[in-house]
Amino acid sequence: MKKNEKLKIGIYGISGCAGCLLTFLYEPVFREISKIFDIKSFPLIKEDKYKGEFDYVFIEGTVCFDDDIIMLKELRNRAKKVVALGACAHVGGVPSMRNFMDNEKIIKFVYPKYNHLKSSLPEPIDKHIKVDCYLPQCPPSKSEILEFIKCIARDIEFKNYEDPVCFECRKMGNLCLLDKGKLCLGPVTNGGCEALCPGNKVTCYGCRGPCRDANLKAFLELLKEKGYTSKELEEKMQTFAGLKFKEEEEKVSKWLEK
Amino acid sequence: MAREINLNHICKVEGHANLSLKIENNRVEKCELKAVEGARFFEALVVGKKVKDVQEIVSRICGICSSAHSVACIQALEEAMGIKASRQQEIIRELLMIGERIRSHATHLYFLVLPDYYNISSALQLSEKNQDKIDDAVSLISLGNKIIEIVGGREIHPFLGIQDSIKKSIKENISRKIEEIEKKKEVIEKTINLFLSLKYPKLERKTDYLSLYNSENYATISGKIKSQSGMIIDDDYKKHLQENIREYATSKFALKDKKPYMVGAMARINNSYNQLDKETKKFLKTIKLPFNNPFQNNIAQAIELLHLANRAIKISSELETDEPEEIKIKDGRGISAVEAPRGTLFHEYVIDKEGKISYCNIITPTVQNLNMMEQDIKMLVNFLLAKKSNKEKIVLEIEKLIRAYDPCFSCSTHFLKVNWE
Repeated sequence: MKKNEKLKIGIYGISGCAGCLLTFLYEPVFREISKIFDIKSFPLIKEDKYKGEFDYVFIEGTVCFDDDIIMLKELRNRAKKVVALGACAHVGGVPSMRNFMDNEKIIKFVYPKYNHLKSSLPEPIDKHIKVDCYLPQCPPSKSEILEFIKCIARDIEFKNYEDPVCFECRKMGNLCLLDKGKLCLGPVTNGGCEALCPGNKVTCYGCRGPCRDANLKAFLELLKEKGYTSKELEEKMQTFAGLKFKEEEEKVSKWLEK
Repeated sequence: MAREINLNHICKVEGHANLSLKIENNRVEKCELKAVEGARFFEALVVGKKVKDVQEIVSRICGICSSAHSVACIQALEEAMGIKASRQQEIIRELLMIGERIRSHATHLYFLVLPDYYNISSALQLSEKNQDKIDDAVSLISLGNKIIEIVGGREIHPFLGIQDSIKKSIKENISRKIEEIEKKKEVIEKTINLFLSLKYPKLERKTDYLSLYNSENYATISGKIKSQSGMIIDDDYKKHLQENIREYATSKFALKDKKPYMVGAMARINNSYNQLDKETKKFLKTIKLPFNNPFQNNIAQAIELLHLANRAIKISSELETDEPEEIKIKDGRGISAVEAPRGTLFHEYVIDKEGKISYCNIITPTVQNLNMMEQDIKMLVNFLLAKKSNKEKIVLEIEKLIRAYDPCFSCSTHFLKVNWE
């Protein structure tokens, strides 16, 4: 990139709720991105006529059907870096819950009459294309986005937060929800959200995915002592990031077997 | 001679949609508007879930109207369990919806609609002299966001529970906003005048308009369902509003008594003009009501902004703290209808004896508007064909019409993708 030339960016959504895209349209993110970047494509607010390459493409949403995969591959080919924007792109998000449910039943429930479906199970985008950076959370954190765009504009490496939600939650001075008898995923979930949910008296649903070295076995033991079942823990983890927690679980059990 | 017009991935609307038109003998023979999003199955995802987890899930149907989905969900669950919300709980919910509607209308009007009338591809291309439009958009969007954040804890996917406690800090923070809302009315009046001044295609037609209605105020979170053909009580909604599955779309289409109808700002003003405040009514003096041109939905949205600001000021000053008792989960069935930015939104749940969801049905505003949109597109294209307009002109006018409806294809696509054999 030539000096003083703005980075070319694209902001796209596959199957999703548009919440992450809107985060880019709301303040203070919008003013920043219009200032520092050359927004080549942002179909939510702009005709999608640009056919060239991007320095960065931000992608929102979960892979839910073939068209999503086609779009992802096309964007990957045109982008130097791909950023997974939000929980759906990063960990699968709420739609990915379907991976853990009886699909036959789901189909019959919504379509009692017609069930000739070829719909694939929802997955995060890195199951289909290489992802360079992640901006987690549902909806993504504006302060994290701002930090990220400042880093890439100055060509500085951006580092994701890696400690559990509990670290930040304590720092914020919140009362522990687990102690209050609520099933909170704070101990095994990646922080960086400033414990926004527990701060609002809502338990952590794990939307930023498992934290580094999440000790799921020990967490389950702790929950069992408190009277929860492993099924309850599983269901809670499946709300946003079930697929990633499952991977983590498999890693832990393999490690324990050794 | 037969020809086709296909619009793939229409921009400046929420979500993904394609339109295909078949024209024969200079008349539209077929018009299909398809949502092309992967289905996300929300109604099935909540089955088997505990009551307290439902709002977190259904809020994710839509990032634009997550407050509306949250409020409809909580109210339907409360009804199922026989819980009556206090006035204070209602104020919180209405403020969430007002903040959201201000934000949604401002986003739609300035970022999605305006560029078409200035012949630019996006608001990012607005000239130096029109930069104040961006400032006004940002200022209104931020106001909406601030209101939602104060009462809901965050701007998108707010926190909302059954019988939440209302802390002193919320009361204080929202009353501190009143002055700012008052000041922003200047921007709102500018917005109304701007959207009144735009030149819209003349597409007058009669149809049925559906919205919530109550005699005391401009209905937002509760009321009877009013249509031009009379009142419907919530529980009967299924009899009247049939959702049909269309083979070419992942979303459902809805018809009322087998006829298309319209929901949204235009329908609300047509049905509840008398419930608007005096200041807002003044702007309607020059307009012939009912609105019968779908492009006037833009004007209706702009006008609603003023009423919403006044309403926010009024109810914010009435908010008190509230410490409701712990609720008891019970089985039952409940329905709630609310006025989301784009129109009437229905949520229905059945809670079983174990306190888990056994049934859920959601009808979104866009699903209800799709039939009417197709019908209006046909009419517009026939009109343009008769005037011998070229394809570029036709495509542009179709897009303007679709945008006037402010569709949300993410919301409408809560059903699975069906491949027909």
